[in-house]
Amino acid sequence: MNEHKRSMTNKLAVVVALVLTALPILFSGASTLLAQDAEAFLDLPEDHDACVKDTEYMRFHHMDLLLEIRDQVQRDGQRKGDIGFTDCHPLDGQAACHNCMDCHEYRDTFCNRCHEAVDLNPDCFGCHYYPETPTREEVP
Amino acid sequence: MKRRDFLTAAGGTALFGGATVVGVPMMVPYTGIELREVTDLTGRRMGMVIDLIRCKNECTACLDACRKENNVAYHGEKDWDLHLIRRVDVARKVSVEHEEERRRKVLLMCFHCENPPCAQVCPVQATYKREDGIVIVDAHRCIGCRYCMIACPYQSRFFNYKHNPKDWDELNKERPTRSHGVTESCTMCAHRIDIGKEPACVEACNKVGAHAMHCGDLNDADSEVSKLVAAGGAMRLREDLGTEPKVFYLGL
Repeated sequence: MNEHKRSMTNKLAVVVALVLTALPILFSGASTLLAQDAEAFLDLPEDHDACVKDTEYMRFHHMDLLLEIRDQVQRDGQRKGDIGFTDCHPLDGQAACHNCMDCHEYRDTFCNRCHEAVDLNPDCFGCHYYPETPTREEVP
Repeated sequence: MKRRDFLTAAGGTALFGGATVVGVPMMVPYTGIELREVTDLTGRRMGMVIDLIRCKNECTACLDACRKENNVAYHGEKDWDLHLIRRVDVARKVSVEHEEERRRKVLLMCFHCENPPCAQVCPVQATYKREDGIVIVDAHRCIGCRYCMIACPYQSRFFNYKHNPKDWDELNKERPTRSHGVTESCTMCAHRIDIGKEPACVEACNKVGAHAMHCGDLNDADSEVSKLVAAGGAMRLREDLGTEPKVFYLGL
């Protein structure tokens, strides 16, 4: 009997441990699912009706793009000319973009909204300057 | 639950979790960016010539222009201040003809050596020599170990002990400020050279009409700097060290 009781306690402990282990994974999965609506979550630039890339692509790779642009500018001195994304969606005849800020004027509705939602604090803006334009809601 | 079942369940959960975290981004392959216009830096050797005879002792145009261009603020305390370009008195051991020559001050900055000791000692390759010979600190990579400051024989490296103030009146919003904990030195205004402009100090010097600073490609025989160096009389500091600085002085 005593043996059986201890085995039950062990089982309970194992289940609790499993649930605790799975919680972060479940939570991250849930937040990924919730973030599916990112296209509606982020505002498009005023005179555009599509993103240059798919939402999925940008979600996973926007930081890779930024790092690649950074390395090209900082280490290879490629400051001349425009930067284009490979297989970029055509945007009203606009062939290439120079940087993100050219179209996305509002940092609050571009960088900040997602970063705040997932509680991320990238330290880009500790040094770099993003035009401190008002949020879309504040624009008359 | 048997041990075997438990291990199977735990392993399965871990596999599923790992696959979710790793697999989902892998389903969206990274395609990268393409440059529409590639600037070829190879073959260039950027250098400067500073004419100390034309340089006026009381003028601070280049020093101010550098601070403004690169967001180098005064922190209010002498020990914390950075000077990407600075003017110093030189103790002369040899006798000179004119009194004026003895009082001549020298502009010091990063000399963008051909064999940069700072880049050799950097443990994270944050300091590097570009293809065109400009020596730059990548503040993104710098870990603030200050080996480069020790290695530089010209003391051209400075350490950011404090954050640069962002609420500065004269903040140049085109350029980044920098956080504390990284080293810094003159970049020969690489960001301006890349788009075909002169460095800020050279531009300011020309603006006040002194025309004492020149910047250009030393490999190009037709450039102003090459001609000035070829004309003779151009000297570099501590040539005995073999670092081969690319900043030449006239009238040193």
